[in-house]
Amino acid sequence: MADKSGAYGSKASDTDFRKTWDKEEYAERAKKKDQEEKERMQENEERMKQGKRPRKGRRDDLPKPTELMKQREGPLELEKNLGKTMVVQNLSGKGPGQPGFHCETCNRTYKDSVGYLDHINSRAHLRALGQTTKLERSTLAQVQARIAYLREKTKEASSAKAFDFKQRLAEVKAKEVALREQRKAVKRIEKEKARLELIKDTGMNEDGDMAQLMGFGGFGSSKK
Amino acid sequence: MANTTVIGALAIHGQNPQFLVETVIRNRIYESNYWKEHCFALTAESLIDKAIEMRYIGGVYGNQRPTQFLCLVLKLLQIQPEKEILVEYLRADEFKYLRALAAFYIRMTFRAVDVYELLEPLLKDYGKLRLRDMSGYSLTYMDEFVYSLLTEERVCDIILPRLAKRQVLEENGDIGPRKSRLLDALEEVSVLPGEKAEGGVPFGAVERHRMLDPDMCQGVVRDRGLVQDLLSVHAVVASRPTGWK
Ligand SMILES: [Zn+2]
Repeated sequence: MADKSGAYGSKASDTDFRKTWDKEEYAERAKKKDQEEKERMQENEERMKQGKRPRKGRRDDLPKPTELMKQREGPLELEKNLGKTMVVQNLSGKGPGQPGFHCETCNRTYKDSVGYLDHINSRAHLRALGQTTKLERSTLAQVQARIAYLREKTKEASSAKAFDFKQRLAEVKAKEVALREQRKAVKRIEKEKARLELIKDTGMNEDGDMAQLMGFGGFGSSKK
Repeated sequence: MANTTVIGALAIHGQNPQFLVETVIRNRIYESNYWKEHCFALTAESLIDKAIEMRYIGGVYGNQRPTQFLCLVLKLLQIQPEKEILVEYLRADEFKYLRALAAFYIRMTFRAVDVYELLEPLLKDYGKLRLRDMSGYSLTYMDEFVYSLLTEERVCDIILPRLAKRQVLEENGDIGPRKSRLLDALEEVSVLPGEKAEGGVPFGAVERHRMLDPDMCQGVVRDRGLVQDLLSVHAVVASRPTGWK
């Protein structure tokens, strides 16, 4: 082979399946990373002088938290998939669709509920949600209103329960009646069948197959 | 944070309020799922919902697992609601577990005078409470529970802060004499024998000298508040055998 074309005339060389790297871009990235690291080191040195703890990771440019710490809305349903077999949809090893509990806000997955709970209660997660770690203080009026509301609610619930009980009794009764009706119907059908059988038997004997086939029971001679 | 005491909280009995729950149990609570999942970011307002969902009081059970009751006690210590809010909890008589929780917290944190003044009225509350401990479930009553809070050192696996004796407080003039329902009842008896007293106990049926015998009373009257009255009256009688009406 004089020219370096392959068996099928392609110009590809043996190693062309390999990924080609954009060296310039990666050099740029490495430089940037070094720069960041250098800045972090300098900052840490400053912090050390002030007697503070050094910063470990990269600094996230999150906006200052504006809200107070809030209770989660709705239950966490940690056990909703308990005992189920799930298909792992995402095999990349990152992001949602992995086995475990995923936090969408922080894009992190935890293998168990304890780790997940610890995370969603953590300062980092709250920060990502834009919440501080301070808690709202309830006023006396709020507490009074809540108790009054719950009082009404439990009253309603208990009366609703009583109502339900009556309704249930009626339902049970209706069901029983329906069941009895059904049994009666079945019995009636059986009786009817037996009667027809009887007719057939007597018909067969006296009038023969023809009369049966023609659909009448004889010529007035057969008694029922 | 999830486990820190609220900023600006006052020290109770000279320390961080959360330290009133001893370290081992406190860490058990911090590790429990109920704490992490349900007690996170509770306020004095949202805590009410959790409190009325409770089905039993108690300390630890099974494998040293803390009850929801204990978790909520720690939560109260953490957020330290105002005194008026606790009184409001106490007044909600249809939510007995909320009431029991408030009573427990008040006993742990309030001044002795306030403890007596706020809790003694609950000795008239005969509502049933379910108690869960290492040996399983058992039945108790609000008045019994409050009585144990006023007289025992350890309730629900928590060592309660020392409570000054009522008698001492009375002698110092910090607190007025306990409004005795028994004395009222006795006066009533002398006027109207056979009449039923406020608590529903037929006093006329029991002779006066028998009623003043505390051992008898334990058997006759199930009312803890009355028993306490009887005991104090008995003491008075013993020290002043003559000249007492
Ligand atoms: Zn998160």
